[in-house]
Amino acid sequence: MSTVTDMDKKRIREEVIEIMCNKLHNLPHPGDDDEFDYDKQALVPDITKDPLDIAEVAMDLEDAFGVNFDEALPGEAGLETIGRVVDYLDRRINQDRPGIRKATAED
Amino acid sequence: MTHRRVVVTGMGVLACNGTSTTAFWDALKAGRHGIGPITTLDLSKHKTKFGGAVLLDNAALVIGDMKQAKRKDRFVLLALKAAHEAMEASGLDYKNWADPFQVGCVVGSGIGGLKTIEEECAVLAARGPSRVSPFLVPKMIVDSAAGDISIVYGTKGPNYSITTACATGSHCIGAAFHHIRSGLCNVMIGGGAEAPITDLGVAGFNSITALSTRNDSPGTASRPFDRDRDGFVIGEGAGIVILEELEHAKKRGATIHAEIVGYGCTGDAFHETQPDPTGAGGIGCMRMALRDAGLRPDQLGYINAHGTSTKYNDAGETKVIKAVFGDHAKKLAVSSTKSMTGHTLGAAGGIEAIASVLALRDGVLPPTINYTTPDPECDLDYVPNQARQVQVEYALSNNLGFGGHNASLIFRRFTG
Repeated sequence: MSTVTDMDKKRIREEVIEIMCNKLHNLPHPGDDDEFDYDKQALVPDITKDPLDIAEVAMDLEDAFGVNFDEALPGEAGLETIGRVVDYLDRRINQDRPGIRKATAED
Repeated sequence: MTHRRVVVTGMGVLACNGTSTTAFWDALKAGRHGIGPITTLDLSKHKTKFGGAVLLDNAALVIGDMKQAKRKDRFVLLALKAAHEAMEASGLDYKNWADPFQVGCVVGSGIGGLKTIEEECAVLAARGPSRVSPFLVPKMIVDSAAGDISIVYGTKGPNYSITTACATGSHCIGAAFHHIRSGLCNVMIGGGAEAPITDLGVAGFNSITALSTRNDSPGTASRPFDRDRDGFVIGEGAGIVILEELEHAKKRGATIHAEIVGYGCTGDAFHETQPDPTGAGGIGCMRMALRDAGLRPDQLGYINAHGTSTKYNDAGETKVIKAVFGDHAKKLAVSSTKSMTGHTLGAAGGIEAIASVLALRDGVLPPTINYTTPDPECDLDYVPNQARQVQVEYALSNNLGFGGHNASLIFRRFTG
């Protein structure tokens, strides 16, 4: 079983953006729009208004990082922006250990 | 009271032998089937290894946003594509309905998102409940086809699905027809869609010995009314029609393909999967449709039969037709286009309503192919193997579903 440890925030951010870009079609891929501010970008309603989009992104992020969105889903209060989602994952992975592990196919 | 008249102004078909109305109709007239080995699934352990698959993958079915390929079950993608063809063909200005509440959609499926259910059951077993997709519910529910079509075309009138197994499409069109005739609506989208060619779908129908196992010759396996028939051929597809109040259609100069004049729907109250041997439910259904249309039995010229190619259905349906039509039964042309499409379950009523409309419009009766050996229990004129050029005035489409659900639709050649 692999474990998510000491994953630096830059890498978390890159992976979050990649996962979100794969599911949220209004989100530009890195390099497509140099002016785009991923950290401050609100997810709802600018990027999506569809709760199914949010549910799917949350599930993909949970799979990727082995972290559950227990209190709020991306886009909800406290996790309004992509930057805040990255902050949350960083905190859960790098500060709230132990107990965080990466989900595997056996999960 | 004079009924409002209802006409067909748009059609959309996806079947194994044609992925547009024109291609499908050309295939029917040529007696061409689309049945073959299933290559998209591992059916090595299934008794039946063939079917009537639509030759477009999910990505090819998507209209517009490719995200739909993942977010919709195949039966919904089939429904959306057929609805698109029908709506575009109708010429209706669907972006500017005069009153969207007078435009509705009744489109169903016999099963719904079976593939989705299978996939998510596997996720549940392997990874637990928290990993089950948020799209499971919207993808699997039968009414998602009607719901999604209404979203695309902004129809805000009656919107629902009828699920009556193999009679689904016919019931949906019948209900849609009555919504217009009663004055509730001016335009309705009606029909059915099905994507049952999955591990579980084929296994389930095999388990009730409903499917043909003629694996060495899939193309001749669907042989309705033939003595050597051994079960139906599972198929997938969609058939969607646009129904419109006659004056509404005339006012906008629409092309009118045929008129729908009668609808019957009854229940056998007999058995989960077997038809009532007395045929009472089927007899009552066709009589109800004739009554609804104000017709005598001898006015009918063609029946697009349910004709599944099972022992029970084809003999039973023949008996029912003879009971309803008496001496006139021998003068009727009766064919089963399932010989070419396979049995598309909930889509069959939609697809076969369109076959009936086209038969009236073009004066061509599609054949029953693979008819080689007469069965003493099936002794009507089944339009064997070759299409027939003959202009009839009225055509009836039958579909009878597991659970004892019977549906009959009657169409009239449109002459003004």
